[in-house]
Amino acid sequence: MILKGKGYHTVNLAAVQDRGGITVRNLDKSYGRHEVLKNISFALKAGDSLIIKGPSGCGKSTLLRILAGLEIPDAGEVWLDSRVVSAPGHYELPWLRGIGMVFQAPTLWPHMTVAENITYPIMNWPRDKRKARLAGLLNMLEIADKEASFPDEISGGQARRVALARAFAARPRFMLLDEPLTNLNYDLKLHLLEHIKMEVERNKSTMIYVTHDSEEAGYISSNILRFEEINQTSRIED
Amino acid sequence: MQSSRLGQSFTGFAVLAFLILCLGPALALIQDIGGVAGGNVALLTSRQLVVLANSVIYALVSALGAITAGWFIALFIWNRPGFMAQIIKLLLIIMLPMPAFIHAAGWRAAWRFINDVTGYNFSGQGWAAAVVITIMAFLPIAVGAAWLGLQAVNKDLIGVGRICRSDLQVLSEIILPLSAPFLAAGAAIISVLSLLDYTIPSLCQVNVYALEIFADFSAVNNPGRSFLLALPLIIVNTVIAAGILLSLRNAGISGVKNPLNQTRFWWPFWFWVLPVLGAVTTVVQAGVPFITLLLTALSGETLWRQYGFAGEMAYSIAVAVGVGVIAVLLAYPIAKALNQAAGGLGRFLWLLVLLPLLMPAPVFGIGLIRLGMWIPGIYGSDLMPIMAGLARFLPLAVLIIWAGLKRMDNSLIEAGRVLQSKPGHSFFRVELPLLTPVLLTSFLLLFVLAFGELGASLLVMPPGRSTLTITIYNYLHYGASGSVSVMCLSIALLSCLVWVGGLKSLELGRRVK
Amino acid sequence: MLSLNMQKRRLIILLGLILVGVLILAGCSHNNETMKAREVVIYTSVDQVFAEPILKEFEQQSKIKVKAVYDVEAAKTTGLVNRLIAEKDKPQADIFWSSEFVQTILLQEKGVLDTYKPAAAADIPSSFKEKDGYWTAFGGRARVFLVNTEKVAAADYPASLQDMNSDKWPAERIGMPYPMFGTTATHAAALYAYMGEAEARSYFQNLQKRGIRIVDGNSVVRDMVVSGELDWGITDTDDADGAVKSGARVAIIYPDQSDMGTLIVPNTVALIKGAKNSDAAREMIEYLVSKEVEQKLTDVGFIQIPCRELDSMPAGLPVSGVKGMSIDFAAVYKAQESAKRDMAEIFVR
Repeated sequence: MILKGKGYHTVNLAAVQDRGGITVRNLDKSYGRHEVLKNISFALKAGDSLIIKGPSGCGKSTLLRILAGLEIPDAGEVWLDSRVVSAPGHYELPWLRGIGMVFQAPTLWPHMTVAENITYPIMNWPRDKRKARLAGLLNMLEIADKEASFPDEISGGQARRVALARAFAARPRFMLLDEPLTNLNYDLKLHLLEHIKMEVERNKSTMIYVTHDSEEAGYISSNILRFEEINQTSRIED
Repeated sequence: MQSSRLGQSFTGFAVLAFLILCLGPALALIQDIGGVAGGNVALLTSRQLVVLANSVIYALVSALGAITAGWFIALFIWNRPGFMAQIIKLLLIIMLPMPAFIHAAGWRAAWRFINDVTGYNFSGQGWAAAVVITIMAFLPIAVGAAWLGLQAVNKDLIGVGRICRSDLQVLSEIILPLSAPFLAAGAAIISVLSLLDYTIPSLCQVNVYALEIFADFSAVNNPGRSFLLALPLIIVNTVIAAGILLSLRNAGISGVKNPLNQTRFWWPFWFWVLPVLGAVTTVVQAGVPFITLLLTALSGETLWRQYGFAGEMAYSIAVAVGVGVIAVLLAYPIAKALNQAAGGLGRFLWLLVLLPLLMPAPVFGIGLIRLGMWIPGIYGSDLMPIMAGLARFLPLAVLIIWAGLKRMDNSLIEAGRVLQSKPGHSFFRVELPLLTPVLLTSFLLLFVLAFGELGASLLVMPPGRSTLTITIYNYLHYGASGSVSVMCLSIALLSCLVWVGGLKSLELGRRVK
Repeated sequence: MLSLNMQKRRLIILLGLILVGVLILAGCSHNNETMKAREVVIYTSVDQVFAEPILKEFEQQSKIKVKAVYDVEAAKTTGLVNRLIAEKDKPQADIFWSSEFVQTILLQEKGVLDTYKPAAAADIPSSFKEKDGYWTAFGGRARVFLVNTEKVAAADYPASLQDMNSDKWPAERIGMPYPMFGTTATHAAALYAYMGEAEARSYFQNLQKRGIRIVDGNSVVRDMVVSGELDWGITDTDDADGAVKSGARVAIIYPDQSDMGTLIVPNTVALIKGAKNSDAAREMIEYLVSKEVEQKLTDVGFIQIPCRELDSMPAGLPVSGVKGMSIDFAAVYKAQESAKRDMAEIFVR
C-alpha cells in the first residue's frame, strides 16, 4: 500500500492509536522560511514496518529526527504506543521514547570501543545480561573479533554493523533507520537486511526505514510512504 | 594532495618567516649566553625551587578553575542560544583585551566596598585572591576553548546518545570526553600564560617565578643570563605545551561542521544551577572592572592630555591590523603543513610552533633588537612593533587555523582542485570561502592580543611612537586613573565594534540566501 | 535584495577602506614628522605625564622635532636601559633622561654614553655632575614616608627607616615597593653603601620576617595609604605630593632628618655615544638642565628637591630644608648589583 505523505489522514486514527505503533498527525517543520515538512500524517500499526521514500532533501531525515525527539515540530503531534510524545506544549525526552536509531553515517563514538558503543543503551542492565546481549549481537553480525577495537580501527562495513547492533541492543519498541546500508556491497547488504528483519520481528518492533533502494524496500515491507517535494528549489540538510 | 609550486614556495617562505620571527629572538640571545658565568645560574637555589613550585601550582589551579568556569559558561551559551547568550558572548569579547591590572584594580575596589558595607576585613591579597583574579582575567580564553570543544562534537554522535541515555549522562559520557581535548588545550594555554605573568600575582603580593626572572634582569642587565634563568620556566611550559599538542592531535575532531544545536538539553535543576552560575560569573567578571572604570572615569580626576590619545589609538590599531593580517597570511600555510605532517616530524614541528608561546616577553624584545640590527632598514621602523606582536602570537594563529582545517571536510577542497578550470581558481572560489570564518577568527583574536601587547613592544617601539597600552601603563603609574579608565573603556568599545563587525561579516557569509 | 556575493564584495571593500584609512591616519602623523628637518631622539624614564609637556615646549621653542621613547613601570626598568645597551653599536637614541642615577651610571660603565658638559649646568653643585661630563644630575625626589593621618596620630608618625622594623607599628599596615626595581632598588643600594652590606642585609631580612607589605610600585603604596589599606609606607615625593594635591588625608615625612638623612634621587641627563643628532641633542641637554625646566618640573610636582635656589620653591618642602643622605653616587651604583640580588633572595619567596 502506498500512502501519499502530503495531506493524507488515516481513517480511524483513534482505533490505530489504541493498538499502539507510531502515529503522526499534521506535522509541520520549517527552518527559517524554508518549509521541510508540511501537514504530514500517517499511522503505523504496532509491529509493522514502513518504508519512506522520496527525493533527496524532501524531509525524510527530519521526520525521523522529530520522531526520535531530536527536533521539535512547529505543529502537529507524534504518538508512540498510545502516548503523545510530541505536541504543542508537550515534549518527551528522546531517551524515554524507547527508540533505536541508525543514522546515514555509522555515527560511532570515537572514544569508545566497539563493545562500549554497542552496550551504551543497555548500561542500566545487569552486568551478566548486558554481556550476554553483547555477545549475541557481536556473533549475529559477525564482528566478535572487533569487540575491543575503536571505530577508527574498523572498516566502513564493520562500522555499520556496530551501529546496527547498538540500535538493536536494548530491544527497542521502535526502530528508525535512515538509509543504514548506503554504499555497501550487495552481499553484505543482503546479509544485514536479513538480520534487521529478524531482529525487528523477534523484538516485535515498529520500524520506519528510509531508503532509495527499491530492492531493500521490497525486502523490508510493502508499506511505502512516498514523500513529494514541497518546494522544487529547496535544499534540505539530510 | 600536492600543492602547486607557488603554494609550496609560499609555504617555505612562511615557515622561514616563522623561524626568524618567533624563534630568531631567542637564538639571537645565544651570544649573550656565551658570556654568562654558568653553573650558578643553571642550578636553582632551594628558594627559587619553592618559588617555581608555587608558581606552577598557582598556574595549574588558576587554569583548572578558569576552564571549569569556562565549561559551564559555554554550556549555558550552547544550550540556551538567545539574547542572554549573545550578551554573555559580547561581555567576554569586550573583556578579552583588558589588561590584567584592570581586573586586579576592579576587584580590589570591589573588596574594599564589600569590606566597608559588611565590616568584614578581607585584605584582597594572597594566593586565593591572585587565583580568583587570574581566573577572571583568562575567563574569555577558557570559554572560547570550551565553546570550540562543544562545537567540535558531531551532533549525530550526541543524537544517538540522547536516544539511549539521559541528557545528563550524554553530557558526561559523550560530550565531555569528546570536548576534553579542547578543554585540556585551553587549560594548558592559560597555565602557560599564568606562568609568564607576574602582574596579577605582584598586585596581590604573592611572588612567582616570572618575577624572579625580571628581578634578575633588573639586577644584572644580562639578557643571556636571564634567559638561562627562564629555562626552568620554559621547560615546565614545554611539558604543558606537549599536553596541548597531545590533546589536540588526539582530539578526533569531527570532520563535519556542527554549528547548530538541536533540541535543548534537559538537565536536572541541581545541575542547571552551574551553567546559570557561570553566566552570572561572566556578568560579574565584566561588571566589576567595568563599573570601577566607569566610576573612575566620571570621578572628576580625569586628566585630559592636550593632545588626547587619538594618536596612540590610531597607531595601536594600525599595528594590531598589521599583526592580524600578516599572521593570517603566514599561519595558513604553516597550519596546512602541520595538518599534513605525520609521526615524529609532525610532533617536532608542533613543538617548534608552540615554543614561542612559552617564552617571556622581554626575551622577544631584546632578541628582536639584535635581529633588527642585522637587517638594514628594519630596526627603528614601524615594522618592529608588528614583529613583536607576530613573534609572540603567531603560534596562536597557527593553532586556530589548524583546528579549523581539521574540522573542515578535506574532500571539498580536493573536489575543487580536481574540477577547477584554471590554476588557482579553486583556491579563491573554494578554499578561501570555506576558510573565511576561521581566518577571520584568527585575525580578530590576534588583533585583540596585539593591541594589548606590552612586554616586547616596549623594547622595540620606534621613537616618537606609542601604543595605547604603553600610555595606559604610564598614566596608571602616575595615578591618572580617570584617564586610564577612559582609555580602557575606549579599548572595550573598540573590541566590541571589531568583534560585532567581524561576527556580522561571518553571518553574511553563512547566510544561504 | 542584494545577492550574497554583492554583499560580501561591499563588506570587503568597506573593510579595506577602513584599513587603508587607519594606516593613512597612523602614517599621517609620521609624515608630518618627517617634514621637519631637525630632530632629536630621547629615551626617558621620567613619567610621560611630566616629561611630555617639557619635550613639547622644547619642540615649539627650538623647532627641533622630538621623538620620545618612554619607559613603563610595569617593565620593571628592564625596558629602556636594556634597550640602550642592546643598541650600543647602532644607537637610535641621542639623549637619555632618567628619573634616577644608578641606571645612568650603569650605561656609563657599559660605554653607552658620551661626554658633554652643558653650560646651563654651571649653577648646579659639582656633586651633581660626573667629573668627565658623562652625565649631569639636577633636581629630584626624595624617598619619604606617606602617612594616612586618619589612621596614625601625629604623635605616632614614623621618623626613621628603622621604624619600619619597630613593633610599635603593625607590619601588615606598612608598605614598601619591591626593592629590586626602580627608586626603591636605588634606595636599597644606597643603604648598602651607607650601612655596609651586612647591616643593610640584616635590616631587609628583618623587614621580611616582620611581614612588611611588599607592593607593586611607589604608586601602589600611595594608593593603598590614601585608601587606608595601609597606615603608612615608603614612596617617592612625586607620588606622595600627588596624593597631597588630590586632597587625601596624608602627611609626608622626610625620614632620618636627625640621623643619616633622606635619600634624594636626582634626575640625570646624558648624551648617547654615536648619537645621530648630536647637535640637536646638545641643545636639548642645555634646555633640560636649565633652571627654567627645573622650575617647571617643580611647579608640576615632579621635582620636590631642586638642586638650585629657584624663584618659587616647592610647596610642602620643610622650611629648614631637607637633610640629604650623604652618599656617593658611584658607591651606590657599585652596591646595586649585590643589593638587588639580596633583595630578590629575601623578598621573592
